[in-house]
Amino acid sequence: MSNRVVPNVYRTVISEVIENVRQDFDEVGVEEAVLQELLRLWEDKVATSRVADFSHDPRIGARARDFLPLPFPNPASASNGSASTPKPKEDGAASGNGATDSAAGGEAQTSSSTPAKTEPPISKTNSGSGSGVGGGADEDEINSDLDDDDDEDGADGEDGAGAGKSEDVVIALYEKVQRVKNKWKVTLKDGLVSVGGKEYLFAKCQGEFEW
Amino acid sequence: MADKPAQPFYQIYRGSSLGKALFESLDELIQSGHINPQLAVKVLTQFDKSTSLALSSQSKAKCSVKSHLNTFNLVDDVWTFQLQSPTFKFENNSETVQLPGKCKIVACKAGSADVKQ
Repeated sequence: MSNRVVPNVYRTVISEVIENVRQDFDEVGVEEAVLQELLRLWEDKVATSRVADFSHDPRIGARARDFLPLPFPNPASASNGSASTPKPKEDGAASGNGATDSAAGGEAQTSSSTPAKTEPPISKTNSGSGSGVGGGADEDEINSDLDDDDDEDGADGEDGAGAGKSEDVVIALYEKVQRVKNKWKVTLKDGLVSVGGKEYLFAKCQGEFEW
Repeated sequence: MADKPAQPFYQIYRGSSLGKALFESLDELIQSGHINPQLAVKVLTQFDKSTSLALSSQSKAKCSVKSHLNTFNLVDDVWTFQLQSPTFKFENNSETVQLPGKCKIVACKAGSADVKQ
């Protein structure tokens, strides 16, 4: 549910932002064409981000069909991933990975033929420390070696070059944070969960952590 | 103290995929000279507002998460937690997601976007 509402909410946000900045663009004297270009770039990136199934979105639909969300590696939620796979258009798409012969979750896993720019973080093996430091986007994956975790996870300026990896993060507002000894109880609201390459929205979230 | 023209909204949503997509798109337009940085700032500010409003009004889902906590941090009314191998449950068990690695939570105080001076 919370993943399926994502395209709608995003569509709402995008439309609202574009509508409201149109006036700002006018005031500065920038043409409508530039605004349309912004919209197109923005939608392109959202469509290729694969965080949800955008294929029903009126504007992004066509672009998104080539970039369906990846099936989740967790078997418990496999049903969510497979819902998006049986799309006849996918077969004719440029990737040509012979989706028909592989089982429902399988086609996205044959990642060798998927477009290079969106590498599914889960299927790539990352020998973090070994592959050298020079701008390797893969090293910043979760699951890489424990060294340097604190630094690289918090690095803000890291996201250049369209790395395409998404660290797992939850962005929300907190209502209550309580602690008893080492047990934490947190109440969050109006937030967005971005994990495993997919995004979910929630109105309320209860967290229980043990430190 | 300078007065702000309008109630500010949190900028945290710029870290979402939607926010980053917008940021990168704006960056490309600035690089190509089609817009200037001030206009980009206005767009981002509008984005903060639209996203905050959309999230509070459109999503009705509930979820829960349990995990081991690696670190916690509170600065300026912003909580940051680092979780280890969290388990997320969405919509009352209709979906469960388990992560093998780390996850970060960034949460701002509900109810007020004003920065304390």
